[in-house]
Amino acid sequence: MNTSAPEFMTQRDDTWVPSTCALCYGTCSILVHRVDGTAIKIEGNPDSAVGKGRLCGKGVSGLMSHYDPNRLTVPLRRTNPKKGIDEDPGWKEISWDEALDEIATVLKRVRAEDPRKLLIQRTTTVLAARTPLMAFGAAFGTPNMSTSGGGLHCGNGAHLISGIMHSSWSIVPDFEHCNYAIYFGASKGHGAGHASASNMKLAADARARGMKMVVVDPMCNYASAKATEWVPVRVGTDGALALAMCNVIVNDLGIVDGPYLQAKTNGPYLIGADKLYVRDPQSNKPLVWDTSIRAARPFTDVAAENMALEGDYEVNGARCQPAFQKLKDHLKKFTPEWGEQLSTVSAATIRRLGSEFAREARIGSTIVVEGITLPYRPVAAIAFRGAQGHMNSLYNFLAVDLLNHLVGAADVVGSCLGFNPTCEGHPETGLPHYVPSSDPDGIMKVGLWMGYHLPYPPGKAQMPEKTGLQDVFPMGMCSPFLESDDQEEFWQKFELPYRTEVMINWGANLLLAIANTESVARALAKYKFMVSFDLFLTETSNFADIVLPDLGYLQQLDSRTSFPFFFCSMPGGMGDWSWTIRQPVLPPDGQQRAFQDVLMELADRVGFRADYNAAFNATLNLKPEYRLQGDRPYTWEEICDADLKSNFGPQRDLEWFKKKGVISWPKKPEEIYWRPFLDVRVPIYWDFLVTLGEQTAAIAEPRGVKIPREYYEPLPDFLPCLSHCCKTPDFDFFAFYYRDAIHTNSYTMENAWLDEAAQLDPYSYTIAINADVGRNKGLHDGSPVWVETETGRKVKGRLKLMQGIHPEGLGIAACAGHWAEGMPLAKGKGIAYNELLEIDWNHVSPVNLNLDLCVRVKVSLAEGSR
Amino acid sequence: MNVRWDAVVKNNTFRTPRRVPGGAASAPEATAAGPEAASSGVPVEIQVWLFGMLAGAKVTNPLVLQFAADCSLRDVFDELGRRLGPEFLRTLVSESGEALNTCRVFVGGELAKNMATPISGGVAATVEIILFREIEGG
Repeated sequence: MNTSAPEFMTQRDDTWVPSTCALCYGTCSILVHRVDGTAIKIEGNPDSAVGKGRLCGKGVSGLMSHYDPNRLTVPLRRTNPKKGIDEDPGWKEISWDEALDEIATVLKRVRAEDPRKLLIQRTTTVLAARTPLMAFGAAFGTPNMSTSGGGLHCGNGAHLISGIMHSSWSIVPDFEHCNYAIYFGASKGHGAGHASASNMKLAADARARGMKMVVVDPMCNYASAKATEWVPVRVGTDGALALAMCNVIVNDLGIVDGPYLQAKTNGPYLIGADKLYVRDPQSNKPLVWDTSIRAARPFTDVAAENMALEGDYEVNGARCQPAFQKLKDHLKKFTPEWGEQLSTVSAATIRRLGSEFAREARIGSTIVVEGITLPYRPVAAIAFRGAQGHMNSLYNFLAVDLLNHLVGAADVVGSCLGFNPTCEGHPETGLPHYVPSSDPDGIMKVGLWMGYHLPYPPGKAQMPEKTGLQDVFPMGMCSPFLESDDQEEFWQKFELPYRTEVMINWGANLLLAIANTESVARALAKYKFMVSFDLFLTETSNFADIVLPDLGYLQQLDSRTSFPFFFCSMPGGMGDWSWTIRQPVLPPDGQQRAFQDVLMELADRVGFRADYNAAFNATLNLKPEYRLQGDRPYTWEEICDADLKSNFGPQRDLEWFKKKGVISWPKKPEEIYWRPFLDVRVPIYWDFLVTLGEQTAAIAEPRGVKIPREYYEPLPDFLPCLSHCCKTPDFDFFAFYYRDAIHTNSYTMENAWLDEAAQLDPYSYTIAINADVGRNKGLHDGSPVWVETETGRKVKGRLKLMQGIHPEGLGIAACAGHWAEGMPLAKGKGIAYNELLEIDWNHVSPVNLNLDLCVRVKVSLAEGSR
Repeated sequence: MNVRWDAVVKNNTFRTPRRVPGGAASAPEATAAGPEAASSGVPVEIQVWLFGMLAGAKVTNPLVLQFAADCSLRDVFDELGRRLGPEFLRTLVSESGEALNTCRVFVGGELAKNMATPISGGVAATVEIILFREIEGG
């Protein structure tokens, strides 16, 4: 019996509590069986569309994370002022009052001096934490917030382009109807993350139904192992392969969805010699060529069927072409033979894949769903972290997504879906409600986004206010400049008028999640004051001045665990909408406190509660009758109650949701297959990149930062990573990391069951290379080896030889290699891949700031081995 | 059958928010300040609350501004620009004159979608502004 749970023991306690998992950002709905104050089992909640009653191995193991005796239970104060990887912080226990006094004093000073000196850092794993933290940042007045390694590694290309092209944070096949899915470095439906449990069932059913699944990946692991066909590709060349496929489709086969390109893209917009839209002098609207009258007219004045997609035209004495013609001509250089040279995938295979994709799209076909006739395009090209985790992140992802748009396979039945970018809301309240719209150029703007920095239209490049320099690089999302070796040099060059002094860290373990520890540790040590809300004394929390013991997910309350994260919790396709909550199943242990209440107490102590209330009003968009008033000290429970009533009516308050856990209602075909119903276009030609490149260069180049314009061209190209340019002898592997299905980032290695599973798994804690290549080098299964980069960074581990990896590839499961004493189970397990990564300007995309995650390495036997 | 993609755009049900019987309207395009806000020709007194980074030492909340009848949110922003300077205004408004996405504006407690949002007198004649300039990722 759990003796710390007296309030749960007043009577015989044997109940199943509906709540939400937080062991990855799939946020599956769960039922927790509690007996006499102790949680004894976790299962999926079949009443929710989020997980659909299923739960992965991580989800069921949550008990072990909760009951880990190494959980933090008291606030701690550092006594050793020196910060470093090998420094003992000299923790001493302090009271909450002492802790909050000290933190509030620092925050008060910083807010008075310059609120931008505060950086809020959070983990990506627990998405519901974003609302109170984002509101805290806005209320405090800082523009500086970051989402740990997951943000920098997976999001800058994938989320940005999914937003621009699908009005969604991410993309997935319409599993129920898709017949041919091709994945590029993605694992949707086969691994962790986005709507994982739901998607696994959907993907399995699709495969059983006969959906052909082609997986382009350097390694045959989670998705590839279940695929119809695995296409091993050289690391970082997915974009080259996709561009060659596009060329086959457009120029060899001539199979494109003309009506889609005319009505739903900027393909007909006329492009001038300056690479920009040709515009109507009066209205400033982009012009198209009207084939019915053989003249250029604003796009709004011409029926889509009369818009020319091809040809050369003269408008006001200047030559111009439709954007699609530009694309068509641009693609010609990407021959299958060119693609083979770069990707190592044979030209014949590229031709076959392109042909299969185009023909399976069934362009022109329709299908009836719930009585509504809709376009039917049962193919989907899906990219994610693997394909876009490179310097050429943006073009790699865009090249893959172009496959969908060429054949009209975008947000219609069977196709590549954004999930879930349009919602009409609950039938009784009409909330939540969000729908994409168009800008004056007719180009789509998202209806819902994470935060307010929308992917399109991009902001104008300007001198920086954020330490991440995203103001200079408006396509950038998470930024390496928070930890990079050259951050100070760049801050000086760009005349950043302040430096961050204080970090509030919520559960992020930057030292394992970003890049090499030397660089990250150096950046962390610069903070004059750091507070960490955490579950364990992690490597990163050991850099804090004060550590606060947080509640775990079985103890927390959140009123919106599936919103606005529909991309990651709700599966795509038809079915139900589900709004879910998280509620305390178990009480705090020791002095643990809910971070939301702690933040509100800090706002009171610093004196900005009215701002914090206003920020909650804004970010939750509370109806007038539920808005938080003035500086009244609401509790987190009261705010959650207001949020739920605001969206679902006074009868569905927090108490109602605590009983039910979830409210569900059916999706409509018009919501899921929304593309035909909305008068919005997506850009297959990114004219705005040209303008943005000029703006960024105008700021950067006079300050000595060269902006390579090839990254700012309106049509995608293949641009190599540094690893592709390495000619040093013996550095013959392209190292990459992949996300282990057993673990979530660096967090779950402390979970006893998951650690045991990972130890039993041949790959989780080892270094995988091709078996034939390894044997030719005299290497064997289990050989201890060093993996070393050209710059001398190295990690040690044991080899696992396998057939299912590209001969040039070296694969490591991500984010292992803990060393903190506060996580004894995790300590020493696995390989710290990120230790191999440089983090500086030379290793990031100059357009979206994505860190290059592949690296050229050599492998050598470790000393003392055979 | 090849359905034209532009043939089904008409009769779209969710291009604009709809009112649900028995429920409140969602995300109004333009919002009047209150029930007694009908145009009366009487000058309007508006309380402007600035939060977060907008509430510096120069600002005492609320700013009480006077406007002629039938004013709009644009008038309020123009006045803020006059009082607090063009730099201040640039943090709120784009070159095209609309509020930036990062600038959340509430009129009478409801999210304002554009600068044409009318503001009339009455108890609810408040404008609240807060910036969310953080960038999300991950």
